[in-house]
Amino acid sequence: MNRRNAINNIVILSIGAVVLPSCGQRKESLVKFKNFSLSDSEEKMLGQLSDTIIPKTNFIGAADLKAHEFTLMMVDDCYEPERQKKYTAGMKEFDKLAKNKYGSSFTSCTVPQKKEWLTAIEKKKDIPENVVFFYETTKRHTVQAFTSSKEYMTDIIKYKMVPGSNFKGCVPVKKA
Amino acid sequence: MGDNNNTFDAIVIGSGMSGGWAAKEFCEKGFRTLLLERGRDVKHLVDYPTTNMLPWEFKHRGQVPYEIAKDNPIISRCYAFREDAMHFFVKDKEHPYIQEKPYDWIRGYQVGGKSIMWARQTQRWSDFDFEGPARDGFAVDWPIRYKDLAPWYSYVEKFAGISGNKDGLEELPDGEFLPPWELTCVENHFKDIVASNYENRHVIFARCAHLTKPEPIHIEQGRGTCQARNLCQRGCPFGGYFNANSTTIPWAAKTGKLTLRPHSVVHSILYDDAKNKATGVRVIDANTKQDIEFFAPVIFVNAGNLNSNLILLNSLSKRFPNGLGNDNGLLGKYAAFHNYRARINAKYEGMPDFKTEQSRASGAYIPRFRNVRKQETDFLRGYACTFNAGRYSRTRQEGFGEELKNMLMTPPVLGPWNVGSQFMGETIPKETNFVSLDKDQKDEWGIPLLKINIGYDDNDEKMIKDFFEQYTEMFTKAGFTDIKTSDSKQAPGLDIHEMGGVRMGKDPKTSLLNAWNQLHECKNVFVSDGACMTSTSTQNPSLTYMALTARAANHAIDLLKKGEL
Repeated sequence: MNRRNAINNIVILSIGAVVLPSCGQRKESLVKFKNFSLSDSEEKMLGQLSDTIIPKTNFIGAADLKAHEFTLMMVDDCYEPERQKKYTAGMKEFDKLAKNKYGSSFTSCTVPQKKEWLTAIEKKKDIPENVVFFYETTKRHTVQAFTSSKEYMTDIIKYKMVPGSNFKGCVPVKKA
Repeated sequence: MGDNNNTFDAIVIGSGMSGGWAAKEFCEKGFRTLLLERGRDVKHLVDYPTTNMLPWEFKHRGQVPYEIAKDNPIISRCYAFREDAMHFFVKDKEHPYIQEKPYDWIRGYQVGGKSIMWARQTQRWSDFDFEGPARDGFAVDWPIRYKDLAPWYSYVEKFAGISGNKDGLEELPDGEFLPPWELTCVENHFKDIVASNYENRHVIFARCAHLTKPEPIHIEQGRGTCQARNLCQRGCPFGGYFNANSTTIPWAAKTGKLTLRPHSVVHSILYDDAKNKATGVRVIDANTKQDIEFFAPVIFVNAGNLNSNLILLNSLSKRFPNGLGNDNGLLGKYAAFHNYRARINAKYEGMPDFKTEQSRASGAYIPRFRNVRKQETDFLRGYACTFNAGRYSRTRQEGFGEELKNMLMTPPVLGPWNVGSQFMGETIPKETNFVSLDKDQKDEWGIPLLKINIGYDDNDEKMIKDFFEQYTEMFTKAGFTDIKTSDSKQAPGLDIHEMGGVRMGKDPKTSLLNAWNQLHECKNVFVSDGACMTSTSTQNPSLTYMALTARAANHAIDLLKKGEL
């Protein structure tokens, strides 16, 4: 298990690491994971998607928590290869369809365009299945990163690790 | 290897649920005791690396990474094998075994064994259980009855700390209880419905090994009140539940009589043909692979049911060419387990104006009501069940953006009551359910691999069917809706209630152990873990192993004092 931890640590470090572009033509740098690679623009897009799902308000949002890095780590560590392939393929398709629709990649879309695109995916009408899978997976882990964050658990749900032995089996529901 | 260093007054093989008790009893009575553990040491508080980790500190938020799950399909089926307690479970490849039939062998190789991760349910047996085989004509008659074990149940309950109600049920005798937690509104509702519709069916609060209100003896152990964290499988910083690490082993250690030796894989028990008794054990050091022999006048085998079978089967001598004490050829046979395949879940729309507050570490329990006083169905024996009713809060997670974020930050909405029962069925020990040693394949320590040949039978299928029928009827009468039954079809073993193979009995021709857990044919070897069980009944078995072990150890001490071992 120590060996595995060591591998995992290396993977964390490699998120955001840049591989030097090869000579000649200008090539996008790659963000490498254990089981797949993303271009840095894809990683940027994922960051924007997470940020659109849970934006920063007067309370922290997905960007503060680097929720997209958490999502990628979960897909890399906890998903079987087929679902990883579906996720990365869905990601490319997600951006391609946005481009077809709005003439620019998701990253360059306006905020209303982004919202329109996500609304369309949520409705699932005429949307390829792997795009829905990509979106729902990203949303699920973005929400997970948010609701399991220290800030959310401390300030919003007031999580107590040591609740104490005061169980009450039957109390009235307080009316708001 | 000087004799003095390797000679003790007693040797206990296995430091888990029952072995810890044997060590405690011997040490308290002044016997220099060697406690052997095949795994690493786990010191209370010190070696619980995840115990105080907050949810966001787990890299995968509790999930087991895919590579680990893929490499370890067996252990990954265990409900407690999660990111926070993975380190307490044996990985599949580290300790292979042979499945002649599908069998999920769930193991924890460390000081404390599986007592660290157990589910802490502690129901006593009654005479309806001990008399089962004789009445119904299976296995052999138990050589003991409830009156033999009752004082030892009390003895271990007082020390371990068991919470519960005195329910006054003949089929589930009362014990020495600390206060129980409360039942929930709907559990009480179900209790009333069951009581008014059925004779001899009872919904009670499950007796469990939690210190709801510690007694002085528990304070002296350095343990405190259970805080209902429900993170027990990590080891408890309060010592709020019983495990060997917090309770029996440190108690044995403080006598100064205990030698705890981790990384000690027991190869076999040494038998002296001239003296007609066992003289010690042969150990392989797990790290150095070195062979070491230890000697003592009495040996307790508490290696965990199947491993206790393995050690005896591998203890060969001129006198016992087929395994220690195995004159009748029954060693490893009549193995059994608890059938945990079936569940029933439902909703209850009633009592919408009530809820629960805070948490508790256990739930309700419905003792076996089938075939208790007489045979009344087309299957033998019966089943006990858990019962839990609670309301869960739901946070809506629709859409995205500020709309979604507002939902996540709004206090959650209380859902309806969810109710459910887990079935725990008695299985009938049979000669065709057995374990044996592979003739060729050995593990890293040169010990033959165990072959497991244990399966379900028609009686188990009929019992599941009856559970679905009876509980659907009971749930319907209680007004529960959306009732769903499920059969996981899981393999035996995943219940982690494996029993038998070295059964107790009156007759040396048909059993291996006598009424005091001594091998009939080798009286200074005692087996008092799950391997000794003649039948399984339906109760969670650990409390019975603890009581049997304390009783057997004190009997051994009496015999040693009289010079009769």
